[in-house]
Amino acid sequence: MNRHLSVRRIRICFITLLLGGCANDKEMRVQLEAHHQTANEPSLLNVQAQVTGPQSGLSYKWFSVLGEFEPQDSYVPRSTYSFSPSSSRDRIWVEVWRDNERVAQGELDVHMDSAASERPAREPPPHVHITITQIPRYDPAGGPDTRADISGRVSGDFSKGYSVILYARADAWYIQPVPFALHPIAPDSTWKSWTHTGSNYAALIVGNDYKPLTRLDVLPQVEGGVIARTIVEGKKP
Amino acid sequence: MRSPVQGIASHWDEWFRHEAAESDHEAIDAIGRSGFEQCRFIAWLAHRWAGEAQWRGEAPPARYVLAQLSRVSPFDKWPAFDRYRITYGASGISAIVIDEQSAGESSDVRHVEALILPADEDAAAHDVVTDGFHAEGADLRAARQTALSLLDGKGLVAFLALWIATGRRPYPRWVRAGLLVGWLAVAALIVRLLIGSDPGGRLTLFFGLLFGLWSLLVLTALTSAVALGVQAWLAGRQWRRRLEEYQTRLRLDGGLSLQGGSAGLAFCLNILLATFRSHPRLPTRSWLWERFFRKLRLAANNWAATGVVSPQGRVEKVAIESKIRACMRHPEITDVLTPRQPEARQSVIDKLMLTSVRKTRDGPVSVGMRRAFASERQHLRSHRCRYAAQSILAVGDFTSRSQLAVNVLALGVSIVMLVALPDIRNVLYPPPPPAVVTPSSPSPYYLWISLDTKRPQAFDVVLESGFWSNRRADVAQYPDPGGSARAEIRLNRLGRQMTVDEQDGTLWIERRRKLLTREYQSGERVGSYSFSYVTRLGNE
Repeated sequence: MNRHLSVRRIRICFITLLLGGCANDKEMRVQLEAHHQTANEPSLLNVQAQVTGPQSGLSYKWFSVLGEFEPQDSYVPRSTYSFSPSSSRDRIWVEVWRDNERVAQGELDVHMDSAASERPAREPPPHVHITITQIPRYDPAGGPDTRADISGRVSGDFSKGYSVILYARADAWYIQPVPFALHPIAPDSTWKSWTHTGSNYAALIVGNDYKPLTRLDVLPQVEGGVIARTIVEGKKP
Repeated sequence: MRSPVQGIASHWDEWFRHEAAESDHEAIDAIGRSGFEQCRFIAWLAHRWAGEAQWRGEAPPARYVLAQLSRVSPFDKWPAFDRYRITYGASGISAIVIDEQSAGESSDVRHVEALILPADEDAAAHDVVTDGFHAEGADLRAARQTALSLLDGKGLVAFLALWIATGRRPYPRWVRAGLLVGWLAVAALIVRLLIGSDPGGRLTLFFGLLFGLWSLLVLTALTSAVALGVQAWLAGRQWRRRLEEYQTRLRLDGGLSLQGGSAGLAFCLNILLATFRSHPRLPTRSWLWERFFRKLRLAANNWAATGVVSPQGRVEKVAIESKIRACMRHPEITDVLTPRQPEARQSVIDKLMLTSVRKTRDGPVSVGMRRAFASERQHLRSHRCRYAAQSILAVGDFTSRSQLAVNVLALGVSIVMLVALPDIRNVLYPPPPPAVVTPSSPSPYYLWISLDTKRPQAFDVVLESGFWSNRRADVAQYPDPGGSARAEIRLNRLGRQMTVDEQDGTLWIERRRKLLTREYQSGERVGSYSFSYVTRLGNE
């Protein structure tokens, strides 16, 4: 009797192990990420689902409490959300479906970019100017295996709480020297760093809470979080 | 006072000379007058008395008892006892011991007999007692020590290792054929998977078949080897215990005083045979030992051995040429065990056979006749052994070329399979889908896709974008602090991009399917991440 029970237990454990393995293998996880579509449209969010698990046959259904999604059903894990006129905060969901079965669900609390919405009212400090005094060499290929020093000066009327971000142009603008790098402005209004080389170099003065993009096709204009910028061509021999 | 077995002759002699009554003497004399009655007495002693007599729980060896009695009065004059005076009836492999004046004659191939008997109670008694010859105690002890080691010790381990590598198995013919076909099928399947067309969706089936078949074959081989090895060990252990407790008697006629230990190998093998004969039916049966002892008994008349055995089981070199010549001149010897030395190579022996002597059959030539030769070509096979364990393989006829070929094939296939096991595992038992985690790339020109997985080789990463060049990258484990498993993608802007959004792009995590150097079509996609999410990861 005991032996029979033991064998049965072993069988159950084995089956559980097998099913566990399968369940683990097919497990779906979803994580939502939202970012503002443009600085000028603070009420619009690009929402993307990061989906872990088997991808075949998936469809997505988008939900919110107050705002709306366009589209509400999709076969790609992306949609656009717009806040309702009466609210600046909301909660959004995505349901992941496969073959009439919901396999995962994710949610995210979102809020309108208040800084962006207030930006038109915020004027940059007057007469702020940035220059690059030590210009690296001209190198249209650029890339990760190059290195040069760069420095400059800031002039005008600005308070603390600003930093400099740098970009070098190769096939696109790449932030320098590492992603999300903010360079402090020294008390004598100078700044310096090293950079990978490129054909052109850009320096921007931004607020310390600014989230710079790592790669850009077009540099941001002087508006919003950017209060000054300069672009120079690399020094040709 | 000797034990009843060891001292039976002296006990009888004592009784016969001093204690027997006149009527006893008359009765014995009456039996002794008739050859038929003498034979009846011997038959009674061998079958009835020996069957019923017990010494330490065992029947005494009848041939030994008869041999002892044959030397005392009145049996020393009975013709029926003649045969027992010269032999124990326990012949084994012959030793080649060259006479002082001889250059290698057939008479130098000498029968060796071995017996093991319950040990005498005399504490000073030797473990090995010689009968009819004299040898150095160290040589005899080395032979016995090697026999002990072969039964349960390093010698047995060496024998089992050699047998596993080259020895035949007790499989029926159809099983042997099935195993060969199985190994060939596994090899063919590996070749098919490495150089054949991509099996696509059937890859899992192929891998399952490959792994299942290989596992079955390995399991069969291991089970068989382990089971037979354990049986041999258990049986050998029981025989070893017996040999340790008993006294060994070696008999070699001719009244020789042996100079050197070249008879050691023959002594060792005959000690093994004597141990088996003393207790042939053990509770644990062993196919290996049974086959060896069966062949050893059959080989007794046709095999000879020469070689000095060391206590470690090595067979040391000897002066061999005259011994080979003696074997060649002996009409019955067909196989000879020798140390591993160049002079004992088969080619050397074959050359010697061509230029050598004619064998002369015993027997008189009739008056008026002359002896002439119409002999068939003689053949003497040499079995060279570096270790005593190899002599077991040779005598037991364990070595099988076909088994060796199968073993080589199986070993090669298994090495390939062991190297490929991670790849097979990734397909048959894939790891759970991993999530993208930090760290992200410290360089703006690269995109790192770090995954929380312990099996990075099981995944590929694919970038599909309208702004950046599409990329495919393998995930690998990097040895930096933290040891992240990641794919590194060098970004390159498209010449004719389809969008101005530099954040455009999707990163797919795919299951990688490969076997050694062969990459197959990627498997299931198990993750989808936006380019912007991966770019911002760790900095939000």
